[in-house]
Amino acid sequence: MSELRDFLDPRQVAQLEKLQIVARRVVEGFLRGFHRSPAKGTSLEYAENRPYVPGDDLRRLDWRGVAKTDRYYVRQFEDETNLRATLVIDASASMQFGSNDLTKLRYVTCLAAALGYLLHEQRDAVGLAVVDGDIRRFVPCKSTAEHLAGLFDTMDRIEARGETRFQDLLPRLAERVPRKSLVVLLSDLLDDSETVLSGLAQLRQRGAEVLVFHVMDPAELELLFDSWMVFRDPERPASELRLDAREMREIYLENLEEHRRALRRGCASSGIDYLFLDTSEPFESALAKFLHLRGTRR
Amino acid sequence: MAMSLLPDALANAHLWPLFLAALLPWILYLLDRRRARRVDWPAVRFFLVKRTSRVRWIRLREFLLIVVRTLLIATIVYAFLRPTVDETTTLANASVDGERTPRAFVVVVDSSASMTLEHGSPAQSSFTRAKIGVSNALRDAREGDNFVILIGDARFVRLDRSPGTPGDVAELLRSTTPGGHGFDLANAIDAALSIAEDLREPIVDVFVFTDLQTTSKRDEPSRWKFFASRWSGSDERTRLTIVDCGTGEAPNARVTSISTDETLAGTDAPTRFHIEAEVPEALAHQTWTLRLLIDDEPLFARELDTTTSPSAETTMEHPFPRAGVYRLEAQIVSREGADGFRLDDRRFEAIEVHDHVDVVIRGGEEGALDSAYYLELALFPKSRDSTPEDVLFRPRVIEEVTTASLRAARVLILGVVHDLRDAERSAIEMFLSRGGGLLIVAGSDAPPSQLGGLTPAPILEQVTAENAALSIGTIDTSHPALSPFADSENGDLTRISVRRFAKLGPLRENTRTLARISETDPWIVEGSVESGRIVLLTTSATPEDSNLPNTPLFVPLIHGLARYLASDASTDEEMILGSGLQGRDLAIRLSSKPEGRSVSATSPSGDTRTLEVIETNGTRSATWLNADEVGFYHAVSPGGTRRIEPVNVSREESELTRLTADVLEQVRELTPRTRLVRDLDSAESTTRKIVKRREQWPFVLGGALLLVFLELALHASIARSRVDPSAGRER
Repeated sequence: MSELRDFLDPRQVAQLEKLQIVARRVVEGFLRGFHRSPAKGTSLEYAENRPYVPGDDLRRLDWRGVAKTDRYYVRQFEDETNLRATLVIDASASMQFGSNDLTKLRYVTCLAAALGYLLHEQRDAVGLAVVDGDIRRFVPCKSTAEHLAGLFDTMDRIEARGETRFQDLLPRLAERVPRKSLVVLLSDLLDDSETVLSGLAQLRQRGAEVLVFHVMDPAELELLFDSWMVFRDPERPASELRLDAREMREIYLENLEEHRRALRRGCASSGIDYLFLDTSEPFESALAKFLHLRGTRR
Repeated sequence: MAMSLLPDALANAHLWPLFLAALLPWILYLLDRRRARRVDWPAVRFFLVKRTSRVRWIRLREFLLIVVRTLLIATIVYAFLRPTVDETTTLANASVDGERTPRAFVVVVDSSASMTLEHGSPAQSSFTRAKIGVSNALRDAREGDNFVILIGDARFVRLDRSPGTPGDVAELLRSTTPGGHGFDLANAIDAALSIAEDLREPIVDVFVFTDLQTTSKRDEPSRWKFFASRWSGSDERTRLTIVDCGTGEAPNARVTSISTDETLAGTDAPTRFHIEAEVPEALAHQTWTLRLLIDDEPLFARELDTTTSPSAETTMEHPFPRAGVYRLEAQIVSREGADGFRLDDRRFEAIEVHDHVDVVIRGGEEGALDSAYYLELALFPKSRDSTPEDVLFRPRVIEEVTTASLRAARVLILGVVHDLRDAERSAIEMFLSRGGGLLIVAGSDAPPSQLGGLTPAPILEQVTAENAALSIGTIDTSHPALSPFADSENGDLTRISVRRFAKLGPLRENTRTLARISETDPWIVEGSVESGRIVLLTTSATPEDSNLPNTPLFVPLIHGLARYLASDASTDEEMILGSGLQGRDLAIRLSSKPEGRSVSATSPSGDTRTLEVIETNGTRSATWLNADEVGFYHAVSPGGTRRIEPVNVSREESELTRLTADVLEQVRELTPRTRLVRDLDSAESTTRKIVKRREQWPFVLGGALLLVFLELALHASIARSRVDPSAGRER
């Protein structure tokens, strides 16, 4: 994955105002980085042939055409809108946290936009759910360009607030997303792991294909304080915790790792794709992981 | 050997405030907490979930670290304070080369009269408590130890018999009776120290058992400093324990004195006695009675009024029917019971009553109307009304004084002084040396050279009043001989007119002018030679010199002078009627008749001793050493002559003034290695131990070093548990 070094810094990308531009830049950059043509994917109906270029999937080579014309063509397919993907963005107050000028919310929003753009380019229908303790906004799946622009607009206006309660949220979400669709959850998952997994399992039971982007800030992963601190949970501002961060770091990291491990194992056992990201990770890397998982799934 | 965990002293006690530095870790900890930054942190839950026991352990470890640091600083400060502990070794365990260390016990027991004071319930005297204390003190003594017993009050006597065992000590004390007065603690310590210095034992324990009753003059700080400096100079092996066997101030009722107006008690008139007593306020509610017993017969009893004043007195008169020595005993008794100190509830006195006093008058030719004639007339009135039984004086006029003529005489009057021969002069000097009284009636015939040193002042010349007779000026009526004239109803001596008198030169030492002529020249002068009294009258007893023989004042004046001269001038001050003597040597004065070289004497309790008679300047006496019993001592000479001497508790002793707490504190401060013990049971504990002061700071610093290691270990443990942030994040 040495090519990832050439990717844009997520902080710089996230600073672009228009999410549509962000999404396009991310996706195009991603595709260029992999030296791949904008493939239509297997979900497309055959449309026409075009000349082969290196990097094209040889399985889609029109061998009959080669035999007839002695030229190499690859088959192109028409749109097939049978994939419906709902992007679920956790917009609880905890997502407002971010070190290095990039909040978790902005990061997942950009990532969701890129995913939406990518899916749209593949002629898939994309929907959006903005959640905290409840479903704050739900946009059903569509594949039109106007719809996508509307999604970007909605994403641009998301504000972090409220408290995460996956126990209530995920069952409700399961009722709203289409059956046998793709649900992409982008969240810091700061809730009890069993609760999260239980909710995700309900989504799976409705036939949804679930992909979880577990996003955390690098500072949350390291706890680099070396003195007494007063930690305040943004979702519960009334409660404060005064403690020596040096002394508690070991326990904190162990608990965090255990939480991640539980989520990873739980997702694997439930057939849920789980991807852990921190906000310093380039979006292209996230997209690559996403596509890799999608490819593996097929 | 026993060692205390707590220090017995801190050499740098002024550094105590440094202990505040031990608070530094806590202050830093609290400041650290207080400086905590506030941060929004969504992942707070990872601090909370699970691991509660780990959190407790982390916090405990942190707390332990602070505690260790606190202890570390405190320990270092403590080392700076230089703590010392007294390492004590009991005598029972003390040894030299594996053998038990021989010890010396110097035991000083206060035997003053106040040690008989009984207190507590059941009543127990201070002396009894002292004996119990001695027994306790010698509990650890063994055969072979050295014992020295000192008994005394102001003076201390080392008992001759050296006790070999503690049992011997107890036996010696059993046969000792408390007496004496004025216990002197400083002298007691000094006497013990003098003995301790000569002892060779490596451990010398000095015990002083006393009730701490003493006189105020014993409290002088300068005396204490002197004795303290001596004690400080003694070597380390000596320890002093003062054992308080008494109680606090005890209310004490007592007879303070018996006195009489008479200079000489005679059968001619009743003798008047004054008895004084004191009842302290604490006992004033009781009913107190003063009684007088003469020869054990109760003759008078009078109830005292003690409600207004602690002092009470009463006067009693008694006519003695015949001559002899009478024993007087004044008692104060209460219906409710006696106080704790009974020795001074009675005072004793012996009084010698005379049916006559032999007076020898040196006169001139028989029938001459000289001074001798008038003096004999004054002493032995030849009037029809006079009866021989009432006459006290038995005058005898002689022309030449001899030793034989003075043998029975108590008073010699030189009515005529001219032609005094050397033999007469020698007889007079001997008469004076054995306590005789001499009245010199120096008239116109008094030649200065013949009287020589017998007169209180040299006689210069005869002086005759030129124009009118001179009158008598100043009269010292405080003198016993002239005291009747203090009351003008008894006569006024200033009415005497003097026409001629002997002028005197400068008065010799120890003389006293009792009356003056015209405020200038002496008329009556008193002096003394050895134990004899001399009174010089500068006028003759004839009407030529003054109108004295023609006035009613003549007889009482001559009688007063004769009574005074007949009384005993050699009596010690302590033997004045009503005074006391106890615990000192009693000198029993004997008659001048040579009746052998020894007398048999008996103490109040019946102890009989044969005392050697000592003759000094014609005075014969025998001495009872350490008369520590209160009551009458009887001496009988081989010729059958009896002598009675009373012994009373001294007034100072019965005042029962305890050494003040300030003085005792001063004693403790000034005399190192000294302890004051009030509990008899612990009398031994203070002296059974050898105390050695050891510096503890090296051990404390050793402890601090251990704490440093502990701190480092804890710190390392905590540091290890902290994940290094530079190790990178986990994915």
